[in-house]
Amino acid sequence: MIKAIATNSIDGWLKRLSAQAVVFVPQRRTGGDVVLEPMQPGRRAAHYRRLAESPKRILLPQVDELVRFEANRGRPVLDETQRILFGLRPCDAAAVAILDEFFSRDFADPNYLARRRHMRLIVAACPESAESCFCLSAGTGPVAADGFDVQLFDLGEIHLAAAGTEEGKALMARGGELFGDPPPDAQQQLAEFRRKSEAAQQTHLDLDRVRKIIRDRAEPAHFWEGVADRCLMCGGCAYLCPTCTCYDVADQPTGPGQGVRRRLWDTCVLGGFTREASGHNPREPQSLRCAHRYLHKLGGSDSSERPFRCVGCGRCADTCITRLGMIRVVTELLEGVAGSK
Amino acid sequence: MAGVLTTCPYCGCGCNMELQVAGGRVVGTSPVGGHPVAQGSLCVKGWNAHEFVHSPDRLTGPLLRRDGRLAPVSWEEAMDFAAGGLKRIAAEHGPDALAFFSSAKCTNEENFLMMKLARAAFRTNNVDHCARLCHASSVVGLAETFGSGAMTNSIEELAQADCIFVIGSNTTEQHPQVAARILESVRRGGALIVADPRSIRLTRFAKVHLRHRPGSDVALVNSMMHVILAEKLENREFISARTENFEALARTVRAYPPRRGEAISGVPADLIAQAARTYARAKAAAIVYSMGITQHVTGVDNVRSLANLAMLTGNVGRPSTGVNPLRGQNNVQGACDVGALANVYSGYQSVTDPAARQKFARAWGTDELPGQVGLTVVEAINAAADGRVKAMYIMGENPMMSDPDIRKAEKGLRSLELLIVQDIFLTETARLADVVLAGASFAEKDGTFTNTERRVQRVRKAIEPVGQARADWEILCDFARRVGCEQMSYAGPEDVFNELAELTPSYHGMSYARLEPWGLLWPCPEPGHPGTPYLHQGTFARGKGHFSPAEHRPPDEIPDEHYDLILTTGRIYFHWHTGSMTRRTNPLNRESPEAFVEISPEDAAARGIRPGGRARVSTRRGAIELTARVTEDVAPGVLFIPFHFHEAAANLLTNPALDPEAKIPEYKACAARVEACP
Repeated sequence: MIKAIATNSIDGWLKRLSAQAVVFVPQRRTGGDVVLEPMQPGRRAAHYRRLAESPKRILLPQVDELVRFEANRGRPVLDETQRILFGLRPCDAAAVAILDEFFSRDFADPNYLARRRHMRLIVAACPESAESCFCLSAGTGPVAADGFDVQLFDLGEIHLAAAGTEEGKALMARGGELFGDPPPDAQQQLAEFRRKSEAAQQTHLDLDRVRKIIRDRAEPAHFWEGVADRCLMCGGCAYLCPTCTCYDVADQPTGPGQGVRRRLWDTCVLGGFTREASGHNPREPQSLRCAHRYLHKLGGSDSSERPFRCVGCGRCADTCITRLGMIRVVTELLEGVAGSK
Repeated sequence: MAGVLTTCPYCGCGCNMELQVAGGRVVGTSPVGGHPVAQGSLCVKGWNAHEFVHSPDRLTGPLLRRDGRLAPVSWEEAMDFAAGGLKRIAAEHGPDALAFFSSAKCTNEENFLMMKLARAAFRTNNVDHCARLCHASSVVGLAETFGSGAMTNSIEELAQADCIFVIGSNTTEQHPQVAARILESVRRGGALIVADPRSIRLTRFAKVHLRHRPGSDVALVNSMMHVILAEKLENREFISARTENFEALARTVRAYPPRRGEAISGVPADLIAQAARTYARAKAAAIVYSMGITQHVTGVDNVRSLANLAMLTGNVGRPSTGVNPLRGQNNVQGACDVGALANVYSGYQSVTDPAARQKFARAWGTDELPGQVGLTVVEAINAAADGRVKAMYIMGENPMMSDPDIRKAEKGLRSLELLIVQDIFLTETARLADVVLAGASFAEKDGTFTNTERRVQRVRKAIEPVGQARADWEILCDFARRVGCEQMSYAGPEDVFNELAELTPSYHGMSYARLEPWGLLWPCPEPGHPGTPYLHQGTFARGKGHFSPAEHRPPDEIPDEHYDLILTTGRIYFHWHTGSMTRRTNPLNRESPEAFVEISPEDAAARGIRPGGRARVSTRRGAIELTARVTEDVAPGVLFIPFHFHEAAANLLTNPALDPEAKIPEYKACAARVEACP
């Protein structure tokens, strides 16, 4: 079901939605980054761009209180705030699907799932790409196939809207008369949108090939040592990665006989992540940790539907202190393999 | 959740970041795109900068010692006790019986207020801070040779350098953003020269690694200059047009042929020559150094030698060149700039200059200000031990971890009649205090920090101070009021900044409005001025660059039959200085939870020390036990211990010998021995 909404009616729709939920909209901050922040009266949503941070910041916060306890009793901290995230990109929607799968696979994580159950995703298909975007290669964009409640297409004067779920239909229904029938050539316009948007992407990576190289352990000799030398262990690639889920758990006293168990972002590029109580670390050399991260992102999944744990957002390339990240590592790996033949 | 843009509290790189705030607490940290240093990235300390703010160990109110124990009291009582005590002691023993330690962790505004409190309210120049322990040698050495004691060029320029000479700086661990630019220069084909007694990450990228003995820097650099002159690689034009005293330098370095350099430093003569040629032939060559240069009894001579090398080859006053001391603390540059030093007011205006005294006295509405240079950090603690200093007010410093020979520091602090400590944690120093004032963390106040490239930028309040804690500037103003100083009443930090800008020529053109969004690099002498990315263009700050030749002098303590190794100390990536913040930051402390000593496989085997086993390291000052990390990263004959760990404090071992001019202690070399723990 495709509907149309006038572009200048979107704020009105969001205002209606904010009666029942906290609506997060893209906001531009000092320096030009666009981030999701709760909608405030009088502030319009910024132009859609790749968000500086993915929805992970909200779904799986950097510091997440899991359980508060006193004496011998623990009480889980469940965040059931109704949230609507507006303006996500398709890569981020794909990432949320990966998070959902991870946090319900072997154990239903109550803290994550409570937040997720009360969250709706309004995705904006990408009309343009950042230099470091490679969602086409990762198979997640620039138009989302699934993982959204509503997907919007910015056609200038109007936006086309497609519901992906029953909840999405309900969100559109809240817009009432703001949504009307699409123009007769809507399908052609959507195809044109997709064609233009795909053509605009500059970075293309042969991830299937890299996946095979990594799974076959066919990297050139000392490849990962060369990567590790330049990895200063800032953790930024994993912290910003929309699909990295590693965490540490730490208890903190809050008063006499009281405390809180907190989940903190962690990353496999740090030695302490796998160091054992004896002091032995199966991934002591930093090169093994770098290799592990890329194995996990590109080679670790057996699913044919989602072969990669990388959604092609390119944030790791932009936040790396030494400008490594997925694009440069993959490029160097392919060059290295070509060169060693 | 909402973000508040601010400046990182850790190193001198001065990344901007966004603190994430929810429910009145900081719950995360985000990198910020567009900032000229950070460019959308942070190091692991920055990424976790929110973590210590709500530590259960935070001081949430003032404490007063009663019956030998520190107990919570009201602010009224604590401030009355502290202010009354200082006033009484000043009246009984004179103002120079007081000493004030300011803080490179605090804002420019707070440092300005601390020095104003000492000088205007109490009439003493006994105010100093930890810059004395890190870059006092740079301030003296570069002021003499160039006329300005700061980083000559900006961080971003390093990426375009054709050659970078890194000496005494473990840049990837201590200044990650600077290291990133160095790696970028290498990627672009630039030549990297690293001089360091240890193998560090940067040596993997170096064209030449000069692994010199701790304390042989002057000989090493003199030898490089010998080669440059012998092979006529010097920049004659620059020398004659821009400098003076060249003949004296030429005479001195003539006596340092590479073979002599090799004998003193242990670096093969041909490597010294190779380094000299590489540096001298580059179109734009930059020198980057840090505490491996400054923390020696020859600290000033080491700095002079680097300044000489840069002038000899004309590598000053152009983009991507210069002599670049990397300042350690987030605001150590600023704390110096605003005069938290025993010898100068803000803008390095000397207290011995009657005109400067008169200028500040008039601005502050006081009569005479004291004209005698005050006691520096280590001198003040020594003076406490022999009874000349009777009271101290220490803000945000931890000499019980950071001073050389901690036992001696403890003796000094314990001899005081009154010790006031203002901090965010009950540090090793605060434990000795009579009264403890609970200050605010960087997340809880407004102000400015000045980074290592002289960029003055905003710190913004994200949350209210925790518990009953108060912003440090507020505590200082309250203190001044209680001792009867009428000239320290301000509406807020911006008001303080305006006063300091008025009195400080290099900050004169700055205001909070002009510091939006990413700050300005000083000098910025008037309101329309765009700031200054690199110094000494066309002419040196002092006019002509002055060659200051230096002769090699050995460290104060050299190995002998009792203490047969050289101990050098320093820092590691995951921790910050005395550990009060990072050791309370889960992700960081997990990475490096315990003290260790690095020892070469040869030295370890000879003493029966096993990797991961316990070792006992002793010097003439004391002994500590810690884990042995057996590694080829240190050369035989050298031990390395980081100073972050209170349970095995490296500074129980270090030598308090001072550089005669800069008064900086020799943390980087002393004689030690090591044995396996039974």
